[in-house]
Amino acid sequence: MEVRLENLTKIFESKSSERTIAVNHFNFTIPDGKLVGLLGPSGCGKSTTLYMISGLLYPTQGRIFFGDEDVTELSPEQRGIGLVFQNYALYPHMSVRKNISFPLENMNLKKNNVDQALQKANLTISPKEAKIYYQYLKDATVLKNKYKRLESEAKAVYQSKHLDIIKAKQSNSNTLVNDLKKQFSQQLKTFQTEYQSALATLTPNNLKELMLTINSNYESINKGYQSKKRSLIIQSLFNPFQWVHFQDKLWEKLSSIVPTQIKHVEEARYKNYSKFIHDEVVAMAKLVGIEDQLKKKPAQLSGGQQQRVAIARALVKKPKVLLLDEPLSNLDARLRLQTREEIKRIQKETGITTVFVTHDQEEAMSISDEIVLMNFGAEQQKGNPQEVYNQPQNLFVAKFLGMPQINLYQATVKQGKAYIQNQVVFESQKLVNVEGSVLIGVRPEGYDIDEKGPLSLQPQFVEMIGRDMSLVASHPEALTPSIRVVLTTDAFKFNPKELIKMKLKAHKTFVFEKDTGRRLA
Amino acid sequence: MLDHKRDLKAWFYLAIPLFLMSIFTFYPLIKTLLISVFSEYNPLTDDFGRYFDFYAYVAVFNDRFFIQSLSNSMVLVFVSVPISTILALLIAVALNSIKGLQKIFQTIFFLPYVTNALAIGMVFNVMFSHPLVSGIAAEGLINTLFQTSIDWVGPTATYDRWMLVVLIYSIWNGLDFKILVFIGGLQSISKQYYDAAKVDGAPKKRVFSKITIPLLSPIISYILVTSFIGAFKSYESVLAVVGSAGRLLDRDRWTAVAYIYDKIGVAGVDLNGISYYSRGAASAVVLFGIIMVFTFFNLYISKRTVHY
Repeated sequence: MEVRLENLTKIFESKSSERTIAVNHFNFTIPDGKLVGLLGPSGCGKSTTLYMISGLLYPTQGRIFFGDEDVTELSPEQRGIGLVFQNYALYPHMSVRKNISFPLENMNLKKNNVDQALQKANLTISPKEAKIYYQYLKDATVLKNKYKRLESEAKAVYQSKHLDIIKAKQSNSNTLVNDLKKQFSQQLKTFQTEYQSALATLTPNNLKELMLTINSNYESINKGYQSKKRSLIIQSLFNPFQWVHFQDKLWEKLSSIVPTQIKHVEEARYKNYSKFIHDEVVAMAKLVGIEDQLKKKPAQLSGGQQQRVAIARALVKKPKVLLLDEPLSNLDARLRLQTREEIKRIQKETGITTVFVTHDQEEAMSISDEIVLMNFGAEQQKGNPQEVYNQPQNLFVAKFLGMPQINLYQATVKQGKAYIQNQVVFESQKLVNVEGSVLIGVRPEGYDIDEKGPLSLQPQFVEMIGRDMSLVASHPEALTPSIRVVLTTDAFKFNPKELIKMKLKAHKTFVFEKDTGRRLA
Repeated sequence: MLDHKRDLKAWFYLAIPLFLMSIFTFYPLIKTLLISVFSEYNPLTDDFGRYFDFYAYVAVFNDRFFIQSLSNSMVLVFVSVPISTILALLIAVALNSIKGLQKIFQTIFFLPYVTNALAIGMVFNVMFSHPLVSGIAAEGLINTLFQTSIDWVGPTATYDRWMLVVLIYSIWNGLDFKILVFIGGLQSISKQYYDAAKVDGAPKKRVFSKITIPLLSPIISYILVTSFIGAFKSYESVLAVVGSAGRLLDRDRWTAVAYIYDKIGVAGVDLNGISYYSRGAASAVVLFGIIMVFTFFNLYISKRTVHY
């Protein structure tokens, strides 16, 4: 299921009428079956976005679509999403089995299945009437949702206007507020009347008759079967050997005499739902690899196992979208790597559209098919993780992605050439129209040691972490006191009193505008 | 070595409360036990008398009014405690789910707790009052409201009516503290569980029964145990409702504690040579035993049902 966010905005208002814009006109489409990471520093609105997709938070403005369906006004369970909370929120008093089966038990499986089967049966028994009737039901819900949406939109507009008036503190604010209130209630009234008339035009004139014909047609087929069923039930009640698995055995006998048109309805009625739930739970537990832990309480499990339970619970009702809130933040480093692969595997196996939130760039880049970088509630850049890393659109993206961080230098641009300390370090056609001081960012792997290189660094020491070796150095024009250069040669020696000359790799070097951070080249 | 030192320190801190407890708790406890088995005990001279026997217990159990007072206490325990706990839970959940005015309502519900029990009893007395000779004084609030002329708590009140008023009083009187504790408990349940339940599509009823109640169960158990004990010991409730103008309570309307008070107020021995004071002690020991058994039973059940 594709998820589309249109112009999504969330404004939190505190009592002191202070406004925080958590998400600001955010547009994004999450492709079907992909694993997408929402990435950003804390407070950037990524979690808020996730919770809006889940339905736990309602947007102040904007719409959310699952496929073609507008789900903005729907509650979480109506949307059909699975959500894994940051600290899992497993019910501590329930066993793992109960935790996983809880969503299924809430679903009223029997009633839904019987209703669905009934609809199908009616469509075959009395096709003409049933078609009109069920179409009407569907249209009515759509209409209802539409007006709900209109109302909530109007309410949002009203609230923001109301706040503006209060904030402005004009002398005539009271009358303005009153006018606004009047307008708002007027608007609601028109919605009400419009809805009523629209519903009236939608309603077929012979709605009652339709229902009667559908029911009587169904009854005519059902009647003979019901009397046979009754006698069968009484027979089996007198036979103690039938008492164990009563329903299953009864259904075995019934299935031979049930009329074909209503067979599915009866099947839905006699299905063993607790066995169904049990099987589903076991299947889910197997998928996430905790089938031997089902009897334990969550507190008896390790962090990684708890997370698997949380994922199983989210997936058990076959949601259209899986949402993960900082899925790895509560795990230790080793488990994090393992769980990363696990999440990727589960996502691949189920093919479910997955959105996850993280502030860890490595995590996001390693498992997502696509990442969205957010800051200040707005999208900074999106795309394939490697592409975003290679071609950052602005300074924030360049700084946020990459470990060690990108090195930044003060520079000036003249006639398409960028100078650091009056040496040309970089040139590009894109810089022709630019003049003045800029920032140059160089990835740590973007240096080549070269006797004739334009950049001279003052070396400090060589740092070795496992297989990685990097040179820590300083430069008078650098924004940070020390800069890092990833070294490729194993045997690297330097004289601390001598400057090291470097050449910059063009595809690892970016030029940014100083004030806005916009990328120039 | 260090552990040992720390032990000494702990004992030192414990010494003061232990000292006080031995004077005001353990000594009276043991003495009561002793008095109850010396049936000739004389409270004026503090003389235990010659006989070490269980006649005080026999006398107490042969006393119709003791059995009646125990049964009165039982009614209070098994009717007022469950009802007031359920009511308090519902009110706390309701209070917890409203946004505006929550603090005001909380204060209103907590006001009785800081009000004197006798003052509340007097208010009840006035509310349910009924003039013995009609026309002398106005009918109480309840009679006026329902346009009746019933003696609820006066000398001519029937047992059932009187018990009804006492029950209403004890239920209402127990609400305040329970609500406060329940609200505290409800607010300590992480909101995430409710969010998770929302995502899992649990209807409100199921959220209440499957999440709120189990997560609140330690507090519910605590409230039940303490209020059962409190109800067994209730005395001021019957006194407060009826006790205006120093009128002595009918004997068949005593609670167990009222019975004890009555007996220890009398010095001397009866015709069979059994001291009234020993009877009081014996009934106190019986009440103690009942409360202890009941509390153990309570804790045993809660161990199996409460999730900690």
